[in-house]
Amino acid sequence: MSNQKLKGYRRENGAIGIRNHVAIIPVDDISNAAVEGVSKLIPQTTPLPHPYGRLQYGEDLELLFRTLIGHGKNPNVGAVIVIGIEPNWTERIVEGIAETGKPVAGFSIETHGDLETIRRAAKKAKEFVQKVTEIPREPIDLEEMTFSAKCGESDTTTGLASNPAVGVVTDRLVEKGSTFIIGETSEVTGAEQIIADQAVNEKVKQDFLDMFDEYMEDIKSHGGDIHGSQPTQGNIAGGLSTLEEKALGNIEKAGESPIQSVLDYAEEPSVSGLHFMKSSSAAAEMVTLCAAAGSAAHLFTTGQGNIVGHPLLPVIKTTANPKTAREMDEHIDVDISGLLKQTMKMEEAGDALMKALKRTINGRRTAAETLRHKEFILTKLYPSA
Amino acid sequence: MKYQIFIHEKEDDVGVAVTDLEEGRQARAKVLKSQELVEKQVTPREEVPLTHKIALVDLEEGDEVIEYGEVIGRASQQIEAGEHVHTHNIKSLRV
Repeated sequence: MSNQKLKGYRRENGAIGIRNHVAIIPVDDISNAAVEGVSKLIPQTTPLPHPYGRLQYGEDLELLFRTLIGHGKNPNVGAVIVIGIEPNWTERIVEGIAETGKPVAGFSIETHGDLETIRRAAKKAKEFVQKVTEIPREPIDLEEMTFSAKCGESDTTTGLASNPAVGVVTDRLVEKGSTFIIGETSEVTGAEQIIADQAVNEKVKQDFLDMFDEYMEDIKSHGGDIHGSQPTQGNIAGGLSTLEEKALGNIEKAGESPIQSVLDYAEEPSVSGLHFMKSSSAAAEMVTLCAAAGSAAHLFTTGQGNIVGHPLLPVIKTTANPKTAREMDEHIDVDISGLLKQTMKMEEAGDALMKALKRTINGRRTAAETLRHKEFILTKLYPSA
Repeated sequence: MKYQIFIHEKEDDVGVAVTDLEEGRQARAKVLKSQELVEKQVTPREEVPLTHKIALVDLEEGDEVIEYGEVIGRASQQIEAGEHVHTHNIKSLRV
């Protein structure tokens, strides 16, 4: 492995980020216009518009707060503006983010209107942009960081080559002491016992199996048939025939490291090591949940060519499919199709991914960042009241 | 390319084509997860496209199909060694 010096942003609470965003977070759908207004005036900010945040309740509301607060807390963010229609929920999100010690300011639109809110928030955003541009990149270690991984538009090359290569990276990072998040609950169907057996102890194993059963029951209770959507048309085109086959390829990303805990949606890990997060297998939803849980960089393997990105979390894309590497090369950060062409060994693919990860940490823009992929997709558990 | 097919585990019934396989042209296969080198040979009975599976053994209708050393489904019809294996002749057990 290269001894390239790693530099990142050390936040007030010790978390390590690799980007330095000033995020502008709307509490709710009707505050998107003000958020966009501020980002037009101060273009170095990163707006996170989304379609929810009104009349949510119970577990679904808690998930909304956890996700929005999690994005503000994400170490790739240097400062945050929160804008909501009403002061109460706005303030709750501001307080959640303020626990990190980073600069955060909230604005509510009621009694002011959009224009006055935009004026006040833009003034603060200007101050924050100037402030974060003075934060230096400092020497950091991988062990201080949180990472995540997912696969999308999988085919047989994912299970054969690119997921095992990520598994090599997972094991290397976990061995160093990094924190690493995987998930995609429905997509481990058929291999759930293998993941369960990777749990660090009996309690975590039972937590995983309980979470898995509950998740699948939930899909069924809504009239869902996992076989109606899995494998997807893209998976089948890529040669995957059954749900079990897809799952056995999917779990290769986990490497051989013990799973330390089962995380709820968007929950931040409390200890280092590998964690399994309850999450949808839909790419943008899962990546968004990882960002909320504090991931600073995301490894994404694709077979047939998923192109997802995120506004705050750099998504590093790799494929082992020679056809995809050729046809969709502008989306691929690391071409490891040499594994199939037999010009590359698995450890070398792991080295290539580690090298790309380090370059991304040091500031190199990923393909998804460069191509403006900014998918910020909230997981919604049920209809609003 | 030295091998045209990769096999996950020694006991697998299917391998994955790492290049487009031609009907009738013998292909070499390598087992990936094995300490010692295990090679197999199979002659495709039909074209098998890159990333798709080929049967390494004969399977009867109803037989479990093994890949990754695990059951990935059941043969929904008789499959002969060398045939393309996909949704038309294997089905998930989780239905």
